[in-house]
Amino acid sequence: MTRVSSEARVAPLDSNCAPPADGARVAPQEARPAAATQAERVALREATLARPSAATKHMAGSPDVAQPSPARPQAQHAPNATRLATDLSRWEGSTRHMYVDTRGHVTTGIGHLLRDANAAMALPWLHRATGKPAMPAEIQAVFAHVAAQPPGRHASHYEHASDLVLPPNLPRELAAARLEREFLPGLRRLCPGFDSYPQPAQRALVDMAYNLGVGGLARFSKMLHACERGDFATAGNECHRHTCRDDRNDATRELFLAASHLTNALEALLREVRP
Amino acid sequence: MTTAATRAATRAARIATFVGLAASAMPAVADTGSGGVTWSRELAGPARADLEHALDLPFEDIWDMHLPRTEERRRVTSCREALALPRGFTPDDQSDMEWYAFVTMRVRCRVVEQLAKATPARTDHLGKFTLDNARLGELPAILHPLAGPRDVVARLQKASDDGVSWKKWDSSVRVVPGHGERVGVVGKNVDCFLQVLGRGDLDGDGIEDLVLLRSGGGRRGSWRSISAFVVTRRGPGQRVEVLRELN
Repeated sequence: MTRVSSEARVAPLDSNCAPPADGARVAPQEARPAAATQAERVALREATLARPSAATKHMAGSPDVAQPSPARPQAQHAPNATRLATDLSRWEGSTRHMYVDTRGHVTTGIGHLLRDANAAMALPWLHRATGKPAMPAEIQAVFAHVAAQPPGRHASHYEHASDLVLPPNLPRELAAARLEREFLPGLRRLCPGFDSYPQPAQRALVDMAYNLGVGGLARFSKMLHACERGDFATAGNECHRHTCRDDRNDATRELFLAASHLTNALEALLREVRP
Repeated sequence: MTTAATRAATRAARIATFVGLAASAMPAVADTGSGGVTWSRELAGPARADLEHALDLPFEDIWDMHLPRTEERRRVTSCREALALPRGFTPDDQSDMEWYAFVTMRVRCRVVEQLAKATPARTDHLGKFTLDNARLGELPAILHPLAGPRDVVARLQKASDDGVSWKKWDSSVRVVPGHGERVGVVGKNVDCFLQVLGRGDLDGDGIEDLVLLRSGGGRRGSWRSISAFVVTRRGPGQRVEVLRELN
């Protein structure tokens, strides 16, 4: 198996990646080809030309795998929470109205839980037909009405339950704020090198963290250790969620494999240019 | 009211009942149906024939589905069609919200199908089976919703097979009030609900079985696990065991 040590992440694979603090060193070579394979060249070209990989094609409206980077300084970049929130909406769905999730909780946006009517009243609801702001009493009444609906129904059912909606961009902003406040700090605690991971790996981990919670993600210790070693191929084999749909599990695995290809391609290229 | 209007009103009431619109008026436990098999009024009307009939009742919401590999398309308008749908079909709206709604519907359909085939039990070792904190010490650990990874799921399965209860697996879980027939179960990492959907002899051994819906997931993430479990107790004082998982 091709493995890449954390020290081998020698240069940004995309704009979100940072170099290691201790300079450029490449991990032992036994299992690696002497030069970049065609697949690795393709992966690297995709990264540098900022074209979507097979994995990202699953993500409607998502950002590219990587941004043009070769000439950029090797500074550490935090992931873009708004872009990651757009990724999440592909799987989590995004609604502007209140609905009851399968646990029986009133929810809105991209899985934004409304614990009680006060939480609902803290958001700027609008009347769908007129666009005018809703009054607190109206929000409270709608919350009570939606909370009384049975859980786990078709989204359209809840859409007809009230005429209050959130402003169009708010679901994504709420998700981005939650990523910044809760998930990205949690991921950095679990994976100290998170900000230096290739962007596809960051996206895979953010998806898993949002889906499992940071505490749930912490159970995936084999996958997390593999990420810290820079072994994203192994991470892809250890990321399977028992309760997850096959296509979401497959997409996460593909993101890790894309990260692995990027890492391998970059290493191979470095071996070519640095004899 | 005319006969046609009465028929239409009855049909509308059945649809509303099946999809759970009347949930708030439901009794706290599964009601008694005819012939010793009992079920929640969320599933079907009171007559035994209502169970079979519920399989063909049109859904209020139509599900447009596709098979990602081949792009084959199907429209699902009733339980019968949902149950005939091969594995792998997914709602056209690919968000998990719709997926979980579909799974919830399919699980309920599967329960209706099983209850329609159930027979009255000769022996009942389950008793009233109120869903309270004491019950968490009896229910098998496999009811604990878990997202993974594989080795932890395997440990949970083994523990459950070895007779470990849900409460023993996770001492933090406790029952909290829910809506209608549902009771909540929350713990350090768990937030789900339980609901008795029906009772009867579902496996033909003459002993009373009970169908328990468990829906929910973790406290923090968005993941959900929706399953119905057929549970039984084979003799007095014996442990409650899961015979089958319907999902």
